[in-house]
Amino acid sequence: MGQADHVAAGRINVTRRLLLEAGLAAGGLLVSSRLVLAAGESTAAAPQAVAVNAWVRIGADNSVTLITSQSEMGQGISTTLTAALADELGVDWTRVKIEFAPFGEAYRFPEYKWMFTGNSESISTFYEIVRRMGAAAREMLVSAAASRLGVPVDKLTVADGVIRDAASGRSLTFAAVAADAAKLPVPAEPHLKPPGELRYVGRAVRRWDIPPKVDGSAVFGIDVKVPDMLLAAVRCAPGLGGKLAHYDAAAIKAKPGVVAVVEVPCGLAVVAKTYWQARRALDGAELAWTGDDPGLDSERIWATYREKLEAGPFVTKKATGDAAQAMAAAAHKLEAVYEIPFQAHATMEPMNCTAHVTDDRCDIWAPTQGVEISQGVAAQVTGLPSDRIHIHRTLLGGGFGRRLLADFVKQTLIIAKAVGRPVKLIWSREEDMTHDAYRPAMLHRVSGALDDKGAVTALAHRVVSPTYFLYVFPRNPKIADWSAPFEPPTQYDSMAVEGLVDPPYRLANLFVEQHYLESRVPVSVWRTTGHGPNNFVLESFIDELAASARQDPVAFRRKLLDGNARMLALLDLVAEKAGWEKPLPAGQGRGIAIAKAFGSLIAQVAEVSVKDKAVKVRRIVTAVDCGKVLDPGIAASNISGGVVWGLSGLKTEITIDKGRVVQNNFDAFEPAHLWETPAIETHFIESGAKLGGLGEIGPVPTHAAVCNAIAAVTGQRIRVLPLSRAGFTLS
Amino acid sequence: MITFRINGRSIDVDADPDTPLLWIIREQLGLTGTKYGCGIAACGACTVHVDGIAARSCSFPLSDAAGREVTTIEGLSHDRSHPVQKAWIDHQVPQCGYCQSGMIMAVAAFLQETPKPSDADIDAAITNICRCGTYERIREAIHAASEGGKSR
Amino acid sequence: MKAPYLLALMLIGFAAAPSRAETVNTESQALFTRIATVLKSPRCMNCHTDADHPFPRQGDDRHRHLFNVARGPSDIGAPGLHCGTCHQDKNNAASGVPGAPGWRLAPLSMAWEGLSDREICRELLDPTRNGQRNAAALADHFAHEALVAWAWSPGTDHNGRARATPPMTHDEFNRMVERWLATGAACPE
Repeated sequence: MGQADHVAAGRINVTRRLLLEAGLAAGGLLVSSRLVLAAGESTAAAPQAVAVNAWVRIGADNSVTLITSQSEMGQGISTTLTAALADELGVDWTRVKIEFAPFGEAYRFPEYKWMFTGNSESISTFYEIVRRMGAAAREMLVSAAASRLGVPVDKLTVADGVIRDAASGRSLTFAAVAADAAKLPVPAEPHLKPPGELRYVGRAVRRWDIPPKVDGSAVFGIDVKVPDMLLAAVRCAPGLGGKLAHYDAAAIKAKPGVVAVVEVPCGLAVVAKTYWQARRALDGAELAWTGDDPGLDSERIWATYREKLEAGPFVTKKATGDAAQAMAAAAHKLEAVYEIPFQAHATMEPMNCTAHVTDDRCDIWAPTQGVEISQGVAAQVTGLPSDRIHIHRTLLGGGFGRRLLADFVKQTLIIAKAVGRPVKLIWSREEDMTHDAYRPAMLHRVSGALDDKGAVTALAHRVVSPTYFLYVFPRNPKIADWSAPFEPPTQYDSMAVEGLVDPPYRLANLFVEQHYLESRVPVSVWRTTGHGPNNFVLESFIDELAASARQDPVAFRRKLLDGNARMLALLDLVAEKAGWEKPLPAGQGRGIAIAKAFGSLIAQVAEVSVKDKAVKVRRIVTAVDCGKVLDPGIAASNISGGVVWGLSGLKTEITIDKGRVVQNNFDAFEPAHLWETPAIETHFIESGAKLGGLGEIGPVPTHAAVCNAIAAVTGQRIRVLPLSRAGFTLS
Repeated sequence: MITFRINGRSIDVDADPDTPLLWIIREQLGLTGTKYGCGIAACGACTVHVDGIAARSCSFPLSDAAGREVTTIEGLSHDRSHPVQKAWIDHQVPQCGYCQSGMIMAVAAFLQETPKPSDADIDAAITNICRCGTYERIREAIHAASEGGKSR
Repeated sequence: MKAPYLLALMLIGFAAAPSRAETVNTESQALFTRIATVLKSPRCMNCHTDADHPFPRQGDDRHRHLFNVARGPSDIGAPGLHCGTCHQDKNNAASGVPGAPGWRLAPLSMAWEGLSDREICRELLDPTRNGQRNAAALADHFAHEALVAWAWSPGTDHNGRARATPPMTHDEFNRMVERWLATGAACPE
């Protein structure tokens, strides 16, 4: 990815000579002579470059560009999918160029007809697609070469972008036959290589994006430089639901460097020559707000949740057998209520976007997970047809679901339209944290019935939660404002009960119902979605049932997993690796949790020590079955990073006071740090089952595993998060 | 006009002297490797070296840079050859990577001072926030870098 | 310091540990009790922590300094995380990070956390604990040391909220210190 030239030699006056020497504009503006290399607009594409299909482009110099449909936010997907593509295509992946796809039909999820990156579905959806596209491209290139050489296809071999006829010693590069190949019909069933012939898939590939992330040259959205660009800062209503009432435009415009003041739907943006000038002008501006509710706070919000927990109405999401009857007839019954707080995404790179809008063209440079929603919002804001709208994706400094939304894109487009020049909008950390769409708070009552042998006969869940889907559910063109919240019909909306309706356990009686709460706090998907909170409840409660039945938590689960061979294998593996049977000294304990989520299975044991309510998580051992591990290094990193995400969720929360989000920076919303990170061991079982996701499953069992371990040491059950609510701290 | 050295070259910058050095580096100087993460010196993504010592540039005014030697991630080496960078690649440390410029700069300064740190030394020294949670590999890579690039 | 006061102190033999059998000097003791209200205010106490709590504190509520910040072997933070990594020689409004020249923790010999007024007083007067300071040097330290003066211009936090200053002005404090020294530098019971 491109990077502006370093400071030239000698003693330089930055505001004039350097900029002129580098061919840049004067006046303190930062301009680059190289655009960010991004999707669809390859500056490296030679005139004769040929797109063999939507995923493969061959340059005249035989360079190969591979397209990735999926955004790179650290999960490694742009390595794994392009390496799989390269494997089938027959090129040296370490020498390919990688580009992010523009918006396009070919890059949509076939099932949802929607282009996005999220929900841990990239591999399970696109692995087969890119394999076939790579294999198809190879076969087309080989066919074209076969015609050119007058040799049967099966006499030719492919290696590193060269097609060879061993018999004659003749060869042709991909480049030589690319144009011919692109005209051939696409094979319906291309031959896929057997595992033994794969060079990359199944091995730990060294990621292409790591070297630039280690030398500072990687370009994230916030780093984009476009000629003639201005910088903008934005302030939206501090109170939820608030609106801008008054501001003094003239006073703001008089501040140094300020070029324009632009109203955006939720507040005000200041545009200036540098970000700091925009920020200073905005920070110093007197803005008046209206329409928020200073009486809204977390206490009132929870009161509403509790009211709905009793009153409903409820939508039945699962009814197997007759849980109510089983409860009534039960030898032993247990019931508990769990509270899970709002959470902020807090990506390390705050929200930002760069856009340039003219009468006939719109360019957007963004670290986005939501290409389709952004494309649609851009069409609505600019009035331009879709083929005039170009989204250039950068690397993302974290996504976690936040960048599926298009709110920051929409703001940038409005500002860019107003000033008529390229504008980069950067949200301050405070703006980012207080104007998030949060992981919903959830209130969850669970009941369980045991027979006189201590076996679970029924489970019933009542969940109070807003929908997660308001801002991210695929929209149809009839919806006038794609950035507005939209509630899908409840039959399509089971995210708040996922992990409950289809647990790995054998349950004769299972009942799940949800009250769809109308939330005054903006909410959306957050890494682990509904699985995270629901697993905390389910797996904590399973431990409570086990304790009530006076059984060991692993043995208890083993019985309940009756017949689930895949899950049992993981349970046994994790218990063995964690040394579940081995005694621990006083003050130390272990907890287990398992999950079926995102198409994969996971079992996790946490080992903690607790002293005076200070919890030290010493070790977390995980076993995962995602069917097949395409890249062991990337797979392990997703799980270990996921465990840390889970630990962070035990510490953090978002609360509301006087109508405003309270936490606005990392002092008040403090994720897990290095010194709190335990020893992490991860094992994979490749069962050969359908490919499942890895991006979000790591943290799913972590809350319950740790809280069950705390209970093992202290006897204290934790039903409310974060840990501080029960007086515990992570150390 | 504030004069200082950046990655070995002398520079004059004409800007409000209260501007955080972070934004001067990123905008006036065009070096975007140094990142904005929080603006309150809590996350470390903005870490640079000033006269060889780690400093969080979001909390460091331009005026304080006068006459000093500033090193950013771009200046740590020309070719990713700094032992910390090599260890970071060998151990495939970064995920999203946004925190890693600051992390590498903090670690590089730390290893100058404590060439063979224990785990407890690392715990006390490395407070940069990584939301992707790469801490396990960071620790491994620090040990590797301190042993001249060998694995633990 | 005025010459007559200095003379008086020299006559009293200020440098000795104050466990003499003399008339209880209530006026001097009362002055120290008021001086102690400054010393125990968050702006001072946050950096005068003890060996059992090897870290600074922050805020008016004196919570433990976030992010695992520690005293370190030389009072300037753990190796790799010196105070100067974040704190510069003046307050930084942009980040809300306070600053003053030489930002660091007070040495352990000057730990006041958990001490009574009497114990703080005796520590202040003990040259083996107060940096070998005599009366004049002590008064000078309170009047001119940059880190001390900072307590009265502590800046704002990152939300723009001003940090509380000690319960009297710096001038009042200096005058009170001088009077206390001049009246025999007595420690409360």
